[in-house]
Amino acid sequence: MNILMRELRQGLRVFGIWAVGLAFLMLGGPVKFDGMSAAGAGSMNALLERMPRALLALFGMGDGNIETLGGFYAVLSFYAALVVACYAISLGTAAVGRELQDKTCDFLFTRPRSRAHILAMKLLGGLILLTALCLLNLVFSLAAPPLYGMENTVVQPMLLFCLGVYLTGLLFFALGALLTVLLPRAEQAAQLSWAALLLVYGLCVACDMDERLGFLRPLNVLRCFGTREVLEGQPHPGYAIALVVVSGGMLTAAFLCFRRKDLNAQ
Amino acid sequence: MIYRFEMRRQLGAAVCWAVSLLAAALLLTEGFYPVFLACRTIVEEYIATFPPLLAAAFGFQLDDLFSIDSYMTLVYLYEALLGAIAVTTAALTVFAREKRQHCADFLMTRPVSRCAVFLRKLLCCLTLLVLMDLPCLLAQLMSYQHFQGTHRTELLLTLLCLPLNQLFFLALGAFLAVWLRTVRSPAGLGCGIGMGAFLLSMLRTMTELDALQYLSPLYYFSPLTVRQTGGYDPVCAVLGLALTLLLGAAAFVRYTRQDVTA
Repeated sequence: MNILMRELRQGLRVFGIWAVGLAFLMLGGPVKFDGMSAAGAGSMNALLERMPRALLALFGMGDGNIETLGGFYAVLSFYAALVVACYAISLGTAAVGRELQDKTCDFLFTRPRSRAHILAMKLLGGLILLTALCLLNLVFSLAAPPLYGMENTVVQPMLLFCLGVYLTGLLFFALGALLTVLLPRAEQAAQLSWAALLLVYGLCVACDMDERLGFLRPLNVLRCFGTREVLEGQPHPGYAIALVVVSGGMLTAAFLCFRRKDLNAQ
Repeated sequence: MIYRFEMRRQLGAAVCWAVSLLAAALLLTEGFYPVFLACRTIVEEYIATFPPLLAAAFGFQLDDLFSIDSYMTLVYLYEALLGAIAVTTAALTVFAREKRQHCADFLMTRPVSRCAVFLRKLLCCLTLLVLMDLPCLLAQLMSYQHFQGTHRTELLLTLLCLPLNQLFFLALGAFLAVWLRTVRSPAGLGCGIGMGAFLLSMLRTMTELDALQYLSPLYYFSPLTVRQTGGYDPVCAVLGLALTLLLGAAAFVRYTRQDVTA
């Protein structure tokens, strides 16, 4: 319990910074939306529907119509997924690697606690912080429309998008933790996890621009649920389940490999 | 000695970044620009259904929208994101090396002034910046020739946006490396800063609030402004340069005066 409390206390300041950033994005993002929805209606909608995907993607619209509250929120939620994934990587790598980098692992791992217990507490601390940020994401999402005097007509899609963001975060959290366990230096793990995130983001952009790359969809983990599917009320749970299974698998592998890791200070 | 040591340590990462930037530039221009151009016929067909006067007005805008000059300004955002992460990480690694490895006393007891150490590290970061950017900028230049762009002076200003904005991130990286108590992961911090700057510029695009342009460091020297007005926005450019100098000076003062703990 002491380890968990310490982890939470240590992570609080960084959590605050990320939470403020997320609030800025989710509450500030819809500033302009009000005007667009008022001026929009028929003609603009028709024009956007006919436009080729590549063109829309370059202007950040991608899938779905940003004239509607749901489509606009889908775009915001994609950026929220980026923020949460960044935070998740830092949490995952720190949970395993911080003691090694601070050269304090000798003090911690000579205590009468098993390695598995210490790692479990540290990962639990990271998970609590990640879950808290995702809950804040949900709160900000639900608070944004009333803030601008709009009626929130997309509560259910919002819940699904927030769940998607959480699952994406979970995957990157597990990836960061596993890579830190597997690689000899924590810094290498951080570099590799960030490279993975950038690559996935690049894939997202590429998939939006070119329909021929649709077969890469399974790698596009930043969009857990398809925008159209969610807005039409028919999300496929398969992909979400796959994300949970992969994240769980990676965390289990991290536990197993951590038992044999050489804990030399770096 | 210091310069050569830092260069040797950082060269591998710099080559990786140079290749990534080059790949992104080639993929976006040579790969996706033709796809983008192919959209034109669909848009033209649609606009042909408009009344003639309106169609003529749209047709004129289409030439502008689908030109390589305009496309370059869109591509810039992705290049800038990678460039910002690369240079911030490099600056953090170079300036925080001794702090991270707890060996500052070994370096500071050598017969070299702290000022000289700082300047050599800075020179190393600047060399790395040039190394990382050069292939990508050359590739963009060649793509520009390939697709027959027309505005040559503007192209030069557009291409210079990337290194000029990176100077800000270099100064920020040096500042953080020197002022933060501990730097655990330069890559993590660098990526966080790059992503933060990227999200700020996306927020600005979404909200269209002009005030936010002063908060989006990826666009202090903006290719969009070059496209619209033929030059940089003076306020943003001065702000960018002033912040760069301020952060650099703050890093220098602290680096040359701070108490070194073993």
